[in-house]
Amino acid sequence: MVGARSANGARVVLPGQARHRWPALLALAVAWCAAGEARAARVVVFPLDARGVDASLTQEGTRTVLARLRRVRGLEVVDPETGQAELGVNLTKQARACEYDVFCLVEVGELLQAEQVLIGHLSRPLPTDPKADEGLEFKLIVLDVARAAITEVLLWRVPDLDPSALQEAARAAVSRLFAPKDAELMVELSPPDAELRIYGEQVNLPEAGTAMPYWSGVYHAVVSAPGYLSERLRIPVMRGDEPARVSVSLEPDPLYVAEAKGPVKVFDKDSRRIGSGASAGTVGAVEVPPPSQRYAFQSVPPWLVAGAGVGLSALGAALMQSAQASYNTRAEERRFVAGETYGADVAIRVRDDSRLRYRAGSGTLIGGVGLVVGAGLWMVVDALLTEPARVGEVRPAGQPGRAALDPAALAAARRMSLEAR
Amino acid sequence: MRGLVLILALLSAAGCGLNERDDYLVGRPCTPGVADVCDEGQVCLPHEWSADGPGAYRCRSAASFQQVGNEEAPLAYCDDTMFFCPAGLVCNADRIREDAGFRQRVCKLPGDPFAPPLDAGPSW
Repeated sequence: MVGARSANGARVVLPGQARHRWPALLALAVAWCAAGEARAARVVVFPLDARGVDASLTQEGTRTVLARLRRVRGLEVVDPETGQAELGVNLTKQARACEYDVFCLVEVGELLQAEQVLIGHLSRPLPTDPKADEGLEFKLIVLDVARAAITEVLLWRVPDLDPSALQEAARAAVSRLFAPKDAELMVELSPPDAELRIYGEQVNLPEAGTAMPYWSGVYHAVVSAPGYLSERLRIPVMRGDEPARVSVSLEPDPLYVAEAKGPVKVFDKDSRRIGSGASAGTVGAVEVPPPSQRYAFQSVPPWLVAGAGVGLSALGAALMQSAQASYNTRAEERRFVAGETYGADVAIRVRDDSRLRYRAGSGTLIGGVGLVVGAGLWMVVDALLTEPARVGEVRPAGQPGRAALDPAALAAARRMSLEAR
Repeated sequence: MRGLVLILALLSAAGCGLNERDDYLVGRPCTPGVADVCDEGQVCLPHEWSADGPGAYRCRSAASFQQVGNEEAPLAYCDDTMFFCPAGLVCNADRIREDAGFRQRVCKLPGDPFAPPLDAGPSW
C-alpha cells in the first residue's frame, strides 16, 4: 500500500489513491480471517479426579492426557499447573467447588481465555455395580466455553491391570476426542452375533471383511456372545495402509444358562438345560434363602438317616447279646448227667438258632453303623456344596449367569463339552 | 459311595461270629452211627458197657479225657470195630476197678501210668 505521512506523522491519503482503498481493506479482512482460522484453540485441562483410586494413578493419567493433547495439531494446551498459576486456585478444588456444574466450569475457561475445557475422573466402581468387573471408570468431558455446553462425553471402562493400561486408554481417549480418524480397523467375529466392546463401549461393526476408519491407539476390548465364553483382547491400531485386523472365534460356554423368554413353567422339563433355560431360582418362583442364613449340617434328612442308623445299631446289638446269652446258657450247663444234660441234637438246634440270631444282629448293627457313617458323609458333602453359595453371590431374579464353580471344575466341564462335541 | 457299600457288605458277610466254646457238645447224649451228631474231632462213644452191650453214648473230644485237678475224666469205652477213640488217644485196657465186672477197653491218653503192658496179651 502506498501512502504518505504529514509532518505530524498522521497518514494522509493522497488524491487518486482513494479508489484503491476497498480492495486493500478486503485483503486485510481475508488475511485476518485466515489468521483467525489458523490460531490454535486453547484447551484448559483439569486434573483427573481420583475417586476410590490412588492419586498417583490419576496424576499419571493426567500427564498422559496432556502429553497426547500437545501432539494434536491446532490445540494450545493449558495444563493444570499453568491454569492454577494464572488463576491462583487449585483446579481440582475449583471443579469440586463448582460441583461439576457446566456454567461454573466454563467460567474458569473464560477466565483463562480458553475455547474448551477438558475435565474428567478415574473412579473405582462399587462392588454392587454390575459393571464392577469391567474395570475402572474413566470419564472425560469436553466443554465448549463459548456455548457453555458439553460437547463430548467419553465413558470408558479401563481394565485395572497396571498403569500402562491407563496410559494406553488415556492416549486413545484423547485421540477419540480431539484427533481425526487416522487408521483402519477390520473385525471378524465368530459367532456372527458376537459383540465387540472397546473399553466397555459397544462398537457398531460394519459387514464382515469391511475395514472401518478408526483412531490409532491401543485398545482393551472384550468380545462376547450369549452362550460363549467372553474373550479379552488388547488391540493395537496403527496408522498405515493396512488396517488392523481382529479375528476372534469364541468358545462355547458349557455352563451357560439362557435368559428366560416369556413366562416360565417351573419343573415342566426334565432338565433346565433342555427347557426354558431358566431355573426356578432365576425366575423367582422359589425363594432362595439369604446366604448368611444357610449353615452346614442344618439339613434334616441326613439327621433322620443318622437317627435311623443309631436305632438299627442298638437293635442289632440287642439281638447279638440275646443270641450269645442263649448259647451261653446251654453251653454252661452240667454234662455227663443222665436226664439233666440236654442231648446233642437239642444243643445243635439251640446253637444254630443262636448263630442265626447273632449274625442277623451283627448285620443289623453294621447296617446301622453304615447309615450313621453315610449320613455323616452326606452332611459333609452337603456342607462342602453349601459353602460356595454362602460366600458367593446370589444372582438376582431374571439375570442369566453361569454356575459358580471353581476354575478346576470349570476347566474339566469345558474339556468334557469339547470332547462330546 | 459304592466303596462304602462294598465294605459294609463284606463286613456283614464276614459277620461277627457267635462266641462259641469248643466243648459245647462234649458230654451230651448222642446216637452212634449218625453223621454230624457230634462236632468235628469228637466221637460218639459209649459210657456204659454191660453184659447187654454198650450204652449211654456221649460226645467226646480228646481234650475231654484230660484230667482236671484231682478229678479223673469220665471213662469212655472203645473197641476196634465201631467205637474208635478221638485222635491222639489210644484204646487200651482200663485199670482194675472194684466195680468193674470185666475189663473193657477204654480211651486213654498215651503213656497213661495205669495202662497195662501192651505185650501182656488180651486182658479179657
